[in-house]
Amino acid sequence: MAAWDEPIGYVLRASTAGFSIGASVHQIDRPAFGSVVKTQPRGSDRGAVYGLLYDMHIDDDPMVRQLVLADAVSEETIRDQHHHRIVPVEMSVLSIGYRDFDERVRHALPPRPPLSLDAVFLCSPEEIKEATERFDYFRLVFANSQVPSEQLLAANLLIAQATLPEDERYAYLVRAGREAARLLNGDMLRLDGLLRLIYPS
Amino acid sequence: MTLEFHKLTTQIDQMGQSLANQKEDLDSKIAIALQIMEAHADPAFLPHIQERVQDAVDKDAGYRGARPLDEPIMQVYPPANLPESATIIATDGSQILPTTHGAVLYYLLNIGSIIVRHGSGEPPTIISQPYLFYEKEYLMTGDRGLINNATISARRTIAEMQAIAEHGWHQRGEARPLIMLYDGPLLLFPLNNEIPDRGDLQAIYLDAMTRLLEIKANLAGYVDRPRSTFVVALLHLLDTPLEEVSRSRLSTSGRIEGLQDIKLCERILNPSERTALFIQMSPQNKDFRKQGGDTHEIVFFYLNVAGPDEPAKIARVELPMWVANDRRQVAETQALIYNQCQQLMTRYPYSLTRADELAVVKTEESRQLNLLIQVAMTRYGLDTQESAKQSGKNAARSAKTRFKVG
Repeated sequence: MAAWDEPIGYVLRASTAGFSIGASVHQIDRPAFGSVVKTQPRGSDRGAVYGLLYDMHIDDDPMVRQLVLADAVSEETIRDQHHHRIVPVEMSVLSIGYRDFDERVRHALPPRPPLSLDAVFLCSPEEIKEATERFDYFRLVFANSQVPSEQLLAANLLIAQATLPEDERYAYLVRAGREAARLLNGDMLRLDGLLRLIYPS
Repeated sequence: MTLEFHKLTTQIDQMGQSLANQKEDLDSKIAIALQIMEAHADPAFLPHIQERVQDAVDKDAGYRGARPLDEPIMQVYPPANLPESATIIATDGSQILPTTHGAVLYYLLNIGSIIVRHGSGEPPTIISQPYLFYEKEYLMTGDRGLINNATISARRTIAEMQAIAEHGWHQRGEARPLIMLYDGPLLLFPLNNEIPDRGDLQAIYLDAMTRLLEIKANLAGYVDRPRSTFVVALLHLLDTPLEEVSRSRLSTSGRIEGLQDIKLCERILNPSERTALFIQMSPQNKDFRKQGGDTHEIVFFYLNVAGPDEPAKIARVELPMWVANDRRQVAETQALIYNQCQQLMTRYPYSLTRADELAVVKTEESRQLNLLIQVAMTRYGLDTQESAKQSGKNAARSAKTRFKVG
C-alpha cells in the first residue's frame, strides 16, 4: 500500500477556511509541514478538499507531565503512551482548493467544509503536481494571517518541486518566485524571506 | 455555591495549629519507638520477639500487630538487580452503584488490566472489561432489600482478583518473574454480616490466589500511604512487661499511641530499601491460612519508593507466603515494584496508575451508559422516567448556561 493510500488522520473540526486533523502518534511519521493533503469523503458526492498542513500540535496531560519529570521512564512505558493512551496529536490544515464537478482542482475556498471524521490523506506525487502546477492558491496562503505564510509556502514549494523531473525544478521555483513577487510587491521583507527559503542551495 | 468559606477561616486556622502541636508530639514518640526498636534489633532477639507475640496470642489479648517472619526487626534490605526481563500484570476496578431514583436498577463493575513485558521495549497489552448486573439475584438480598455498597465493593474486589488470576494464567509461559500487582491489601476486609454472600466471595478469592500459586506468580498487594500500626503495636508489646500483657493493655499503643509505621520507616529506609518481612496477626490472616493453607498467609514489608535524594515515600507491599518463602523472588519483586514507581514523579507504580485509568468510569461515560439503557428500554416499551428527586438533583447540579436572545 502506498503512503498516500492510508489516512494520516481524521477531521476533528472544520470550516471552509481550513480544518483540524486528529491522529495518534504513530500516524505522524509521514505528514510534514507544508505537505499537500486532501479529505476524501467516502460514499458521498462531496468532492475532495485540498489543503496545506501548517501546524502539528501535541497536547500534554497530567500523566505525561509526571512522566516527563521522572528520570527512569522505560521504553515500554513510552510505547504504552504512544500506542494506547489518547495522545492528542492535532494537525491544522489551510484549505487551498477543492475538486469541482468538472474534476478539476479549483484554487478557491471549498463550497462546504469537510465533515468530522472524514479521512485525511497525503496527496500522491501526481495529485501534488495537479494541485500546485498553478499558483492561484498563493493568494489564499498570503491572505491568511493565522498561518506562517512565507514559511508554509516555501516548505510547500520545495515539496512540490521534488515531484517534478530534475530539469524542471529550477524553472518551477523561478515561476513560483515571480508569482510571489507579483502578489507581495508592496512587502519586500516577506518576499525576501520567501525567496531565501526556496533559493536552490 | 453553598459552602460559605468565610465562616471556615477560623476553624481552618485552629486545625493547622492543632496539627502542628500533634507533629511535635509525634517527634518524641518516634524517638521512643526507635529506642525500643534498636533495643530489639539484634538478630539474637528474634526468637524472643516471636515468643512474646505467641504469648500475647495465647493470652487472647487481642493482639493485632506484626510478627517478624524470620528477619531482624530493624534490618533493611536492598532490592535485587533489576531483572532484564519480567512480566508485570496490574489490575484495578471501579463501579457504578445502583440508584433507586434512576430509570432502572442496575450496577456496573469495570475491571482494567495492563500487561507490561518489562525489558521487551514492546507496548503493553491493555484490557478493560465491564460487567453489567441487572438481574434480581444480583441486586436483591435474601430479605428482598437492595444490596448495599459494601457488597458491591466486595464483589468488585473479588472480580479484580479473578481478573489478575486469569491474565496471569494466560501469561504463565511469558518472561519470569511474573509479578501480579494488585491495588490495595491482599487481606480481604472483614466480610461481615453486611455482605450476604461473604462465604462464597472469600472462597472465590482464595481459589483465584491458588491459581496464581499454581503458576508460581509473585502476587503483591500495593498499599499507598499506609496508615497501619502493625510494627508500632509490636513495639508496644515489647515495651510492655510480660506479666502485664492483657487485652486492655494492648487496646492502645501506650506511650507511642498515635504513631504510624510509616513514620518509623521514613527514618530507617533509604530509597529502594525494604524493611524485614512481617506477618500481620489478624483474624482475617488466620482465616486465610486456615482456608487456603500455609501458602496463603499474608506477609508484608514496607518499601521506600522515593527516588534518589528525595524525601522518603513509604508504601506497604503484601505478599502471600509462597512468595515470601523465596527471598530471591521477594528481592526481584521489590526491584520491579521500585522500578515501576520510578516511572512517574508521583512515585506510584505506573502499571497500577494505568490499570486505574482503564478501570475508572467517568461521570460522562456513566451518563452515556444511562442514555443507552434508556434507549434500549424505550425500544422495548418500558418506562424510562427517573424519580422526581433525581430529576431535580440533575437540574440543580447541571452547569449553568447563559440565557441569550437572538
